[in-house]
Amino acid sequence: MSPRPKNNRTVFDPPKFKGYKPFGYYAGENEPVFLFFEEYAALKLCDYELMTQSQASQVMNISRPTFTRLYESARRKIALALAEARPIEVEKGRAYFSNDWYNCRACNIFFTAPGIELSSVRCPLCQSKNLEEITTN
Amino acid sequence: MKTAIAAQNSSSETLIDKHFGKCSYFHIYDDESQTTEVIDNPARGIKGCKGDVIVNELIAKNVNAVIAGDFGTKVQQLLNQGQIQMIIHPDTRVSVSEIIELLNHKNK
Ligand SMILES: [Zn+2]
Repeated sequence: MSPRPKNNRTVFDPPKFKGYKPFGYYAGENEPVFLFFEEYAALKLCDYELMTQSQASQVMNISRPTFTRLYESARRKIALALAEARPIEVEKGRAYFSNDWYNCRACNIFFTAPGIELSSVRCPLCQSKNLEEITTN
Repeated sequence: MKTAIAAQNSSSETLIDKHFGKCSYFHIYDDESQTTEVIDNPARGIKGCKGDVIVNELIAKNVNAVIAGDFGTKVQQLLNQGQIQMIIHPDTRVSVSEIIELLNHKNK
């Protein structure tokens, strides 16, 4: 695995979606809001895993003020998407993944493959080689 | 190769658990002997940080891979260090026996 580049934010698992779409009323008529992987990660650590901002900033290997900016920006983007009925699309941004994650396009699971060479990675459940490398750094 | 499946109860027809650390049982399937050992979650009843208790127990049992609906960040750090493969199955309506059937196909 390549070394962690400077100024990047360590993210553990990738989001299990490529985006969200509103339904009803003005659904589908508006420009998407782009949410970065690291913004999603900041929000998940604080508001789903219930870490403090200080714990979460350590996990992501960034300073506390940088973490606070990411977290605020995640919340504002999601509020914007909700308030204006805009879809959300996730983008890689400056996330550095602690692990390479794969998504199996055949059965839709996510997995890591420690110690396995890229060319011989297969889905551990359905054996498919139709994989998306989500988080190659 | 041994795979630990986070499960809601001890029956093989139980569904997999949404959350690795909070499951009640682990079904450890060994694809060489084709046998399953069911263990209580060693961290059940422990408050606070449970990840190390679970991961140490699974390493002691020579587990190579783990399956759950999701993994907490701290547990991911420990599993990474232990070189244990993580498998996220976002659809948690799947049963342990269905997962074992899939793991079995690997040998064929
Ligand atoms: Zn698959």
